[in-house]
Amino acid sequence: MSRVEHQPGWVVHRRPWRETSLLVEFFAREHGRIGLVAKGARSARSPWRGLAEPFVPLSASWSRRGEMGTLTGLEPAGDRHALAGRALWCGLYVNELLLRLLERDDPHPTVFDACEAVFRGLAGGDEPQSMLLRRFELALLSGMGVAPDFDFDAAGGDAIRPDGLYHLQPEVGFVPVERGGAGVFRGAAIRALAAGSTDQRETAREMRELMRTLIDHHLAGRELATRRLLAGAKGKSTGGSDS
Amino acid sequence: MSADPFDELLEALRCLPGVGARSAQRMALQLLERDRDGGRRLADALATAMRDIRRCRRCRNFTSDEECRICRSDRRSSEVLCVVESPGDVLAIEAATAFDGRYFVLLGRLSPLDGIGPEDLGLDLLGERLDEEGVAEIIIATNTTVEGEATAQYLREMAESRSIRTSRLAQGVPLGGELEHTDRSTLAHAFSSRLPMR
Repeated sequence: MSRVEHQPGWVVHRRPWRETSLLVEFFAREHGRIGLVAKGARSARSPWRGLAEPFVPLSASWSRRGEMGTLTGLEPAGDRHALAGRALWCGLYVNELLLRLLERDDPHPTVFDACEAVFRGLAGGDEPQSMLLRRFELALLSGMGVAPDFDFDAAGGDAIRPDGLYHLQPEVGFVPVERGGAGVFRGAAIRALAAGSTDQRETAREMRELMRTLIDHHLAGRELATRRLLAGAKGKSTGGSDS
Repeated sequence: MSADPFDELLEALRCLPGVGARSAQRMALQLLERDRDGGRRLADALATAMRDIRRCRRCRNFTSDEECRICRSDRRSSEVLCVVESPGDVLAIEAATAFDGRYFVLLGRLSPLDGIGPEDLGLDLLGERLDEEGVAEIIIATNTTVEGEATAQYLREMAESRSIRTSRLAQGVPLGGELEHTDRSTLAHAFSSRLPMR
């Protein structure tokens, strides 16, 4: 049996379990994604009631024997990131990526920090949601160790030129090509992504396409429900938030 | 060998929320020992309810008719539509307010991470009502959970694309509540969305 005390982390997702408990997918900075049972967390008198929610910086303690741990302590470690409207959907998209792409028990402190940044940015509303998501996606893939080299091409190892065209091969990298086509991106978009630049209206669509190609490759056929939500909602969108 | 009727009853009672082995036994003994009539009435009522109660075709609330009492009433305004997650929410609002509009019951909430999307909540049916009934305002009364808020955003976009006004239930300090004992998220929200005094 192992015990862990006061670990910073996020609730990625939670589901009701039995009468009053929750099954929590917790993403801890030093422990990665773990499954925890929060006994009695839904009962009226529980101090954890309403606390085991996404987007709240938390400090958790748990004990564990086998696959699932048992939550023994939970406290807020900061203020809830107040995500509203489409920003909330974007936050759920981030959580769905964590759930689908990260293995359990695989620590990813840099991804954890990127979560903090993307939630803060989405709550603040100062930067376009699309840019915040692109930056998170890149941090996620880099943290997993599967991001291609955004600085040098995969053929001769030359620096990526803004005016060049490159074919993205997820397991290989960016291969210079002569002509555009499916899976071909401009060097300018690749460079902008690597730099995390925030004001790139003309390459925004291309950057989204590029990250999507990479993420889809690692999802291996699984679909993202939040992506469908962001793409398919009716009415006038506030723009630029799509994943 | 068929199962013992007493054990069957205990097992059946345990489908109720909050009923474990001990309460099931207590309930079964109460009916068998002291209240056989009550037990028969319960059995009949359950059988009838399970057979006859279905969803209202306009608001998805439970009813034994094609349309529920509220949808059929001509005393209720069609201009204001209150969208809630569950039939229990309709009962709560009916008991607490003088609301005289109509309802739409989602019977759930958007929860993409659990695979629950707009198509599971009858939102196409809601869209038809919005197009046909001359609704002027939607009161969004989904829960204040992450999923309830995600659903609220979807409803808002549905309404805005049809130029329908939306409002959301206010969130804040409970009446008679003490600030000191209010949870921190609620208090922060109440503080940032404070209102001018009237």
